[in-house]
Amino acid sequence: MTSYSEDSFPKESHFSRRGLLVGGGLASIGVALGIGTTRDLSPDNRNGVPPSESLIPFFGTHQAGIATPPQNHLLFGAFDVTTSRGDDLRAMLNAWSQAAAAMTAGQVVGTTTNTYAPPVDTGEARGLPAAGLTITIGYGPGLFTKDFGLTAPRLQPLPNFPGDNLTENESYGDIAIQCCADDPQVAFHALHMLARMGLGVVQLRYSQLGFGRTSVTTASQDVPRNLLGFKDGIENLRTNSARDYARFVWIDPHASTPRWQHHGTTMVVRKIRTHIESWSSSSLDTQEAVIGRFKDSGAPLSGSKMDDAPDFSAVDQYNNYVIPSSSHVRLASQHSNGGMTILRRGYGYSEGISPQSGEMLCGLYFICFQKDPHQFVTVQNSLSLADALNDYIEHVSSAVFAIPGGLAKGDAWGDQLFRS
Amino acid sequence: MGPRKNLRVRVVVLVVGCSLILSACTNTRNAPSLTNYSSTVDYGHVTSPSPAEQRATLAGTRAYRTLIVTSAQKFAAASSALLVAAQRGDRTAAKSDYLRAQEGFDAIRAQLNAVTPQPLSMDGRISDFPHWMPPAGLHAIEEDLWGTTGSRLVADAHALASIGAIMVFGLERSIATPNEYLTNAVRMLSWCIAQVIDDPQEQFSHLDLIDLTGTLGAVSAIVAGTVELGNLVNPHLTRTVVADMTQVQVTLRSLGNPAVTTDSQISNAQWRALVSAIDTLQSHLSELAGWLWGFGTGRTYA
Repeated sequence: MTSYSEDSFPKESHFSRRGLLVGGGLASIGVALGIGTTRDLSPDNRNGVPPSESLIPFFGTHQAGIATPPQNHLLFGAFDVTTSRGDDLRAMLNAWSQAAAAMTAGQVVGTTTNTYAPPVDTGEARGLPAAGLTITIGYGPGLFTKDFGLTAPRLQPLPNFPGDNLTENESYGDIAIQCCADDPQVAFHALHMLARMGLGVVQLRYSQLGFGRTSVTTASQDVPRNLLGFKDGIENLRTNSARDYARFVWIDPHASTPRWQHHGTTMVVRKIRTHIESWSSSSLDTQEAVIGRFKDSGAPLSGSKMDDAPDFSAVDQYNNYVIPSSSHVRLASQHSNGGMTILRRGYGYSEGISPQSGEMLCGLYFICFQKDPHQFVTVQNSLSLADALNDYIEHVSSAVFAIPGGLAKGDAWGDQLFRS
Repeated sequence: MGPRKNLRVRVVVLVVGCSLILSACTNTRNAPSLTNYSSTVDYGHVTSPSPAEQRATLAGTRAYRTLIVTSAQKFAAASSALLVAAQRGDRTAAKSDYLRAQEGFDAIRAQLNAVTPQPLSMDGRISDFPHWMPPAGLHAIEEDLWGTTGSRLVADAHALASIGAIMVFGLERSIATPNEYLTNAVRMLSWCIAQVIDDPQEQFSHLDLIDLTGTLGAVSAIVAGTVELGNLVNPHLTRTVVADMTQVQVTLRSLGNPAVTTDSQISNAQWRALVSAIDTLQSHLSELAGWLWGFGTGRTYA
């Protein structure tokens, strides 16, 4: 079993990944040069896209990666806890948060002084900027059934919804790690590092690569299109509506939940496969009626501009609803769910073909945050029974996690969880 | 039959009956107006239909109506026979009747869905039912016959047989334009892949070929009923669709007898060949649906 020395992972890493690139081969033998450099190197043009230089602070009242404007790439991982020793889990979580702080700052993890041993940092992000990396942690209901003496949050596993076709080994999990970045390799490095550091304490249950954000959380971001070709996330919560975040997302510091969850939230993850071949062979009229919006402009069928609020009471000359009663927009709206809403932060995915049918395995890796998972359950109950989109999609995985609040500088995930 | 079973029958009949009657009553309201005849559409072929096109439109509409009504009658007859077999404890006959009922229902599913969301209590898989809703409908009977809930068979068959008669009444009033019934056919092809091949319907009998046979047989009838009009509007595309349909049927038949061939007896390569044929047909059929938009008035005898 691996035992963790938190000293292995500096509280604040000394090494910029770019600095190490300047240091060249010296870095590989553990002699760190270029410490703290801010030298601006030429952009990494592997994909013809200038890398994101943005740094998202790791420490703060809330964890990053929730209200943060969605980055372009996701690597999500869920872990099962394999140890029965709380001390090991605590130490690993502490080490994880220190590594996460380093990686989100664009720094390497730890120092390697023994060339006869594997390097501490796996290295695939060396030379790359932070790329807006955020690393968000969550805890699944199963973690609190283990004998660690942890205070359980109010978190029930999600119910089965009509049409669910869940794959056990791509669902659930004790610990969730959401890595988002504008460079997929930076996101990969983050999860890879944490998985490696967790050997003997946790094991990766599943992971999912996502691309192409499907939501916005600020007014300044462009509304993206999802794999269905429709603009997505138009009605999502925006960070400028602090009242909405307080009402629907953040857990109040006075709430009767464990202290570690104060200023936190809950996360629901659903892998939603799209039968894209069938969808693409549907007429434009059908697609727009299924979604409830015009494909080109993103406007609701009752309006003419993307930002027009859907008029769910509008009827046509035959007295039929202009936005059909089974449309996705109507059923997912606050209007149909007693004022309930969620913060969506999902990504598209594509991963080969179905061995059974030969069709593309692709769709939406749906992630949402809400104060209480009941908010999601309410919305999903509406959708699962009547959404016209159900003819083209199926939910193939599901998970729910409690998301702790953010860390103050000097604090660590393990201490935060175990002291509550 | 105990009071709970009676209640289940009444609830199922009430839900399905109301949906069908409502759909029958609202169908005229949903129908496209006559002005569609002179609309300018992308494909632009219906500003002034020729007498031949009008005759072909009418023939296609009648063929579709015949398909729907005969399929609903087949479903109703098989459901009644299933109840009789269940009451006399003849499970072999009941299984055969179930398969006929399922096949009949598969032909009308898209038409039902086009006018009203299909209730779970009709053809929902057992795993689709939320915990607060007792399973009912075709797949509850499938579970009774192939699974471990045999004691519910008579009650479940009684509910299904009650629905059958109402369904025929509602669907006799079905009306659809060529674009609408071809769109239904496109949806039926989607359903074959997404809800049968990739995500089996028959979770107890594993005889999913029955669903494919029922659905693709109906699509084949729809295509046949469209050929006359299609040949007048876009002969090349229509020939392509007919060839695609033939390929689908040949591939389907090569998989085996649907009444006895279970899913595991079909190889991945065979499934993929069928999916590829269906995808190709679906792509061309949806294009043809676009060409035929605007034909028909939505009245049965246009």
